[in-house]
Amino acid sequence: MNNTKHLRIIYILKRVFLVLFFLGVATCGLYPVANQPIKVIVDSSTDKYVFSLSPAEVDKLSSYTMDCPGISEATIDEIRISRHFESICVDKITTGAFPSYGIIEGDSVVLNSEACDLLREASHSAVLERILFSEGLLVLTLLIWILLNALGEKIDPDNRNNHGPIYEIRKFCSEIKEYRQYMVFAANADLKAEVANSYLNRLWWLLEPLFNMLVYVVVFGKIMGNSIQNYATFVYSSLLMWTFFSKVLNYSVKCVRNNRDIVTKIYVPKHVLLITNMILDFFKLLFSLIVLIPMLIIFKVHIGIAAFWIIPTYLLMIIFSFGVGMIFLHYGVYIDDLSYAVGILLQMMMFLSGIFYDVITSLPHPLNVVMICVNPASMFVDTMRRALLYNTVSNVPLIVLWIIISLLISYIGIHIVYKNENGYVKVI
Amino acid sequence: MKKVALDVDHVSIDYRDLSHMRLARSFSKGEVRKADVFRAVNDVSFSVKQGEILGIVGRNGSGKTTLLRSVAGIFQPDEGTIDTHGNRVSLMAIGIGFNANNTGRENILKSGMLLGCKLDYVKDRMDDIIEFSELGEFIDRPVRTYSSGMYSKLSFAVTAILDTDIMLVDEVLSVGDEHFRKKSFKKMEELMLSDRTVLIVSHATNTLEQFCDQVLWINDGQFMMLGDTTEVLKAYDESMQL
Repeated sequence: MNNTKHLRIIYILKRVFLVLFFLGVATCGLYPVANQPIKVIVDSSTDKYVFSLSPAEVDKLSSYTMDCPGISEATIDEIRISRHFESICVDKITTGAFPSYGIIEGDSVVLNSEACDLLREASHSAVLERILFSEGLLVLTLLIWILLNALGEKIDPDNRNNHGPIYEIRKFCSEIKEYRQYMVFAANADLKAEVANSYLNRLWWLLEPLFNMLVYVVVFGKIMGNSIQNYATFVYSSLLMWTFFSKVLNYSVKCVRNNRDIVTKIYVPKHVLLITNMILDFFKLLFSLIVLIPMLIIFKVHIGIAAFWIIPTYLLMIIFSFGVGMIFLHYGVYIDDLSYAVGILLQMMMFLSGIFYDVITSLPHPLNVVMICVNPASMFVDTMRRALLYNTVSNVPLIVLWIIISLLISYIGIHIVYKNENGYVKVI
Repeated sequence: MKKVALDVDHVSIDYRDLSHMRLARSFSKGEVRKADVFRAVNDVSFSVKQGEILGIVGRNGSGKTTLLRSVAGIFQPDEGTIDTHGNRVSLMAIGIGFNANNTGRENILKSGMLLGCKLDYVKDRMDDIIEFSELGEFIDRPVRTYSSGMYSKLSFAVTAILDTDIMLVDEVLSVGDEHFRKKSFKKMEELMLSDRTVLIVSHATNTLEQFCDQVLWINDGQFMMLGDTTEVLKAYDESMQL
C-alpha cells in the first residue's frame, strides 16, 4: 500500500517539474536581458586578436579601430563577433565581405559604421542566451523525469511491466554485447552484397560523394557564386557528414519492414538492426575520407591541433542520428507514408542546414543563431568545418549540450521501441 | 521423470487493427477500442518435457503460427506466461536473415549468429551444414542464383545442425526433392532420439503420427484437445470430414 502512495508522489512530482519547465522556458524567452558586452575576434593568417567592448561603448560607436600588431603583413581570415560564450559566434565578417566593412590602416583594423551596426545588433539581441538556457532546462527536466522513473522502478520493480530506465538500460547494454559480433559481421556482409555485382565495386562509395560535391561546387560555387575559401573541401567535408546522417535516418524509417525476414522469424532487438546499418554507413564514410585527405593537401589547408575537435562533432552526429533513428523506427512501422515525409524533410533540412554555405554569414542575424542552436545538423557541420578547415574550436557549450540531449533522445527511443516492439510483427 | 522444458500457461494473444492508429493516440495511453482487437490465441496451456515432440494441428488461421512465434519470443503473449526454463529456442523457418546477394556461406554465418550462436561455433559446424544441405560448390555463390529447392535446403540445414534446445518447426518438412525429404525425415528421427524438444506444426497427419509423443489441437484460437497422438488425430480427422 505504501508503494502506491510513493508512486503517486512520483507521478505528481513529474507533473510539477513539467510545469516548472514550461515556466522556466517562458522566463528564458521573456526575461528582459540588458545589452551585453561583446567580444570581437580578429583571426588573421598568422595571429589571433581579441577585443572586448562594454555595452555602453558599443552604443556610441561610429567607427572602431583595433590595434593588431603585425596585421599589415598578414591577411584577415575572418572577424568573429561573440557574446559571453566566446566559442559561439553570433555574427562574422569573412575575408570576402571585409572590404565593405572596414580597411586595414598600417597595423590596425578600422571598422566602418556598417560594421558597428553589426556589433550593436550583436550586443542588443539575447536570442542566443534565451535558446541556450531553454535547452539547458530541457536537459534538466528530461534528466529529472528519467531519474524519477528510475526511482519508481526501484520502489516497485514491476513498474509499468518492467519498462523502467534501469531495466531498459541494462537490457540495452547486454544486448549490445551479445550481438556485437553479429552487427559487425552483418554490416560487412551487407557491404559485400551491395557491391557484389557492380563493375566499379567499392569505388562507388568514393565516386558518389565526389560527384555530388562537383555538382554542388559548380552550382553553388561557380554559377551562384560565393566567396568561401576552399569551397570544394568545404562542401565535401560537410557532405560526408550529411550523407551519413540522412542515410541513417532514411533507413531507420523502413528498418523493421526491410528486415521483415528476420523480425518475423526470430527475436532480434530492433536497435541491433539500426546499428548494423549505421556501421555499414560508417564504413562507407571512412572510405570516402580517403578523398578528403588529398583534397586537404592539394588545397593547402592548414590543419592544427583544433582538428581534434571534429571527434566530438562526429560523436554527436552518431548519437543524435541513433536517437532520432530509434524514434523514426518505431513510427515507421505503423505509418507507411512516414518514409516519404522523412525524405522530404531531410531534403529541406539539407538546404537549410548550411551544407553548401556558412549559416552564420548567410542568414540574417537573429535567424543564424536560432539555426545554429536548434538545428544540431547545422551545428555539427559548422563546428566540424571550422575545426578542420579554420583550426578553431567552436560551439563548445552547444556541442556538450547536444551530446547530452542526444543521449536522452536515444534513451527515449530505446524506451519507446522496447515498449512497443511486441506489436511490430503483428503489423508488418 | 524428465524435466519440463517448456511451460505455456493460459496464453492469449491479440492482434490489434492498427491501420487507423492515430499519431496523437500513440502518445497518450488511450484504450484500444474492443472491436479492433482480434484474439488469435485464447487461453491455451500445455507443457512439454525435455526430449518430447509435440505436434500442433488445427485449421488454417487457427493461431498455430502465432503460438509458435510467441514461444520463439518474437512477441510476448498479451495474457499468460511462456516459460522456456532458460532453454534456447529457435523457430525453424525458411531463410532467417538471408541476403540474396551474399554467398551461402556468409548467410549461414549470419543466420547462425542470429540464432544466438557464437561466430566460432557456427564456423566449426560449417562443414556439417554444407554437407547436409547438399549444395556442394554452390555454397560460395550468391543465394540469388539458387533454385527454390536449394534455398529451402540451405535454411533447413542451418536450423537442423545448429543445436538449440527447443526447436519449433512450421510446415517445413516438405522442402526439397524426394531424396532430401527422406534425409530430413531421418534427421527428425535422429532429433527425436536425441534430447531436443521439438514443436511441429503440420497439416500432414501421417507425419505427426510418425513423430509425435503428444498432439495439441487448436481451433480458432480455442484449446480443443491435448493428449495421446492417435487419439487427438482421430478426433481431429473426424472434425475435418465434410
